[in-house]
Amino acid sequence: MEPLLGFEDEVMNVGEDKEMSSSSSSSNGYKLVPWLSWDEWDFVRESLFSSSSDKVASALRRISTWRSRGCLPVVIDVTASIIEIQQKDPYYRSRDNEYQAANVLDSDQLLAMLYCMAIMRLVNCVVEKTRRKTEASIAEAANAIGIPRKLIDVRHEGSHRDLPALQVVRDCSDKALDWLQAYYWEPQKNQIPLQRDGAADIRREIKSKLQELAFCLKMKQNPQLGPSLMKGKRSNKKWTKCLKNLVKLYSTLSSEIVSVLLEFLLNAFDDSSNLEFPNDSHVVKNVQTSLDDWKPVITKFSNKEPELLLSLLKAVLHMIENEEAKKYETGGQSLTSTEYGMGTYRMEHLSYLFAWLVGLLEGLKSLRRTNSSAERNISNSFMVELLRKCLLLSATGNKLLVDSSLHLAQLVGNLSITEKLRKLSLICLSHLDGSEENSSLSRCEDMQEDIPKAAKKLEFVKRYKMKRKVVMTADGDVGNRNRWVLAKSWNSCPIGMLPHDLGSSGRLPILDCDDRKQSGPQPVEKNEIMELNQYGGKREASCDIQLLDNSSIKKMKETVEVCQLNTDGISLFDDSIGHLMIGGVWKKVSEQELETIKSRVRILI
Amino acid sequence: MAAYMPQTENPSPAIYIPREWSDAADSIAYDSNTSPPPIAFICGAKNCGKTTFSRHLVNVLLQRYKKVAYLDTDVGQPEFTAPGFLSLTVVDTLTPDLTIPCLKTPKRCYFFGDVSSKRDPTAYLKYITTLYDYYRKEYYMFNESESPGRTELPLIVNTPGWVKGIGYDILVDMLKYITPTHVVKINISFEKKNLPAGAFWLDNFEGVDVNLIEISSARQDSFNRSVLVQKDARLLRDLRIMAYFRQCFPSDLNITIIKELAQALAAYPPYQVPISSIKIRHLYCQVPRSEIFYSLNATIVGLAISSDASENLPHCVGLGIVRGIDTLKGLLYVITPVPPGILEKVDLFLQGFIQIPTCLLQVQGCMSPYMSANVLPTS
Repeated sequence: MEPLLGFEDEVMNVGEDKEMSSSSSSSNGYKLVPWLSWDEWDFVRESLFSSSSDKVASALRRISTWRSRGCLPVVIDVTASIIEIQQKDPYYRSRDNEYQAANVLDSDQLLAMLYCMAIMRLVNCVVEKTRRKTEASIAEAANAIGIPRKLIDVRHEGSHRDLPALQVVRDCSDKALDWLQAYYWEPQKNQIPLQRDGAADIRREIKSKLQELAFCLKMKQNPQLGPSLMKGKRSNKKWTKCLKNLVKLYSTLSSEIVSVLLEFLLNAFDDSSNLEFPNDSHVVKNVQTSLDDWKPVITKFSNKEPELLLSLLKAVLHMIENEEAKKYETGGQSLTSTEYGMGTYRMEHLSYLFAWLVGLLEGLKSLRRTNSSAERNISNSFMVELLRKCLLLSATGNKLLVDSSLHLAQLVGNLSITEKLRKLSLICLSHLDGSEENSSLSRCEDMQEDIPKAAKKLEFVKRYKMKRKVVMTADGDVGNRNRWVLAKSWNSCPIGMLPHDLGSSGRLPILDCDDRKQSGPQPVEKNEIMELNQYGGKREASCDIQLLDNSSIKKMKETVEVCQLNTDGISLFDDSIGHLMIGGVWKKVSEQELETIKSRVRILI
Repeated sequence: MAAYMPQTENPSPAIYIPREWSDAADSIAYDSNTSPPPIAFICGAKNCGKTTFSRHLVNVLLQRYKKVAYLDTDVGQPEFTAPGFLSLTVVDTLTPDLTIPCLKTPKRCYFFGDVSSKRDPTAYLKYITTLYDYYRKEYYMFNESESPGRTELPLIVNTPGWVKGIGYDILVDMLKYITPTHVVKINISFEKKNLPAGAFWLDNFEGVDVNLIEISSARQDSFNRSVLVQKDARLLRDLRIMAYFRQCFPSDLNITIIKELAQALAAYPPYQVPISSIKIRHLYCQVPRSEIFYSLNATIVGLAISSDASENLPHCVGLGIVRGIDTLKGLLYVITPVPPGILEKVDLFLQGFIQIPTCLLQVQGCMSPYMSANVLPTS
């Protein structure tokens, strides 16, 4: 472990790199801050100036955490100090009836000292950054940035003469807070980009960009449609520029782009379904043409951002899932016939879209043979996940989905799975042909025969997972003794964030920690739990053993009995691993029992 | 800064060892008995050449002794470790190029958590005295009968460039405790910036046998004024931290520029460790219990072993970057070059004020959320 400081010699022009020499900023205007997001900063700002002392206390706690990170701007530090002193001052606290005697300081002398110190720090520190040492005195520089004269006087008096009277410094503290609001808090708030209502603006922007790109590409394909002025080269430049903008946006707003694109694609169906639809092939052709408009867009985009297609596929599966869930939730019979019809058509559209996207993916894969192995691994594991989900959904006998899953399996390249699926789809096909009648009786029969099929699929999935579990327990035995383990799969993501399944943009972590009860993590899991209930075996896309235990336990907690954990101290997850609440008592459950319970829940549906 | 001719030299000027310096180094190495070996203490103003002299001294001593012990008390620009550490290292190889320091694994080190001893002088002294005691026990003054075969090592103590105020008091306390055999005081031409003349740390009645060697800084201009090398301390610290974390990756991986290091740090799989098995402590602030992850995410921590503590000071094995916290899975993701065998014993994270260099947080397309645009400039 004795490398030389190679950077000093080989590094790219350390001396010329101006960004290195300045303290915590860089040439492109980024600065190190102690907060995770502007939402956090805004929350602190609101709470700090609110009239509820609880909110103020929570804001002060957060600011003291920021202090521990070491890059807190001094204006925030000073604001927090003044407000903290005011919270201890009976003059300000006598207004609300909480905390009568406990938290206030009685000594006038002490309070005056505290206020005075805070004001001195305000004048000195805030001014310090704005002046050059030799040019002006502190008083002059303070005047220059608009600090009220009274504060400057108090600072002078407090450091050279008697301590000013308490009422004087109290008054000054109010003035100081007003000034700080006007000097820092308000202007900074106005400078934060992307406010909450900005989300609509983003969508509009993305929509317009995508439409522009589609238009440009269409022009490129059919030059005779557009005006003759648009020559070949210029149109090339236009759409490449368009594409570049979109790719830049994609790195930060990937989920937005995916959802907007999905909207456009689904609109293609709606447009064509507004025509009469007795003739199926007619519909299909119309849909095909409108989808074809988007084909070049997606292919060109995917060439730059390969994960776009995968994200789209995931989103479509998600929507199919929701449709299924809706159907089962409300019960097939209670829907009116039109709603039911709509639901079915929507399902068909979605399945068709899925098949079309898989077709695109195949086309893309055949072009690109030069993936790096890491990339291929990541996208392969993701596709296996997609395949699994697709299989689960196609249990309802959706022919298109079954076909798509076959294609996906081929893409993944697993021959055994492909073979099995081919056989399965044959069974499925022969079966579906017989069940076009709308009698409820035959539907029941279908269901009865669907169940063993579903059971076979379940068996297959279980076996697959068992295989992986065996592999993992093999090194998990050694692993159990190691607390420090290298993360098994890792997607690149910024420092401070957690990785996404796809892409390198990462997601913001949830850092709240409730050390009294485990109520903290639960609200986030509730969404997971709700969906779990509706569709039995759905789980997060990770096959980590620990997560397996945790998520199924969370599911169980909701379905069997809801009970709060009463843990004292800071241990977050120790107690829950390996235990299930059965009949009101926490019992230790083994893996096998867990599996049986899970499969029982699934077949009920 | 002292009154010198301000030089904007490149980071690696040619090293010039004046005759005075080599004489001083030779006298320390050869004019004393082999046993007990010399303990040399080097002090002087900022940027006067203490580190360069100490490197030269290491080389000279290695010609006579097989190994040399180095007690590094400059917490802002340590010699063999990343910033923020106080360490005792044993050196056995010559430093070929006196300009480029290299990273070594110390025999024992403590995480001080800041780049200046002013943050907590009492703790600072405690760490240093503990390290010195460790040196005495392991490498100095053995009874031949009790511990055969253990060799004694000479000690070099490097110091930060304090000449007045709290720093001066700390220096005096250190000298009184360590009682070196040789004190090398490097003076510069600007008198006000020098340490007091003579054996300034001794009270008058102490007649301890000590060799005080006063030498001048290496370069002088035509007016006999000292020419000191301007150093951007912050830049050097950042570079050192980056060199430290460069060790996380295999040496054949082609990382030669900072951007590549930043990208590698963002992409490389980190270690994951359960939150429940780690204690987290901030050395200087009281972080509220419920906010502990907000304070820990995306920071540099000292990795320490709490069970190994001597006098309640946990031993530190290295630095780590906590690059992510997953509260749902209960995992901490840490990037660190410490080897897994030693890492397994780590169960304590010490938080301080050592910052991650901001250039490592800025990766094209992978910008850390803590690097924010739209920050109001307040200067």
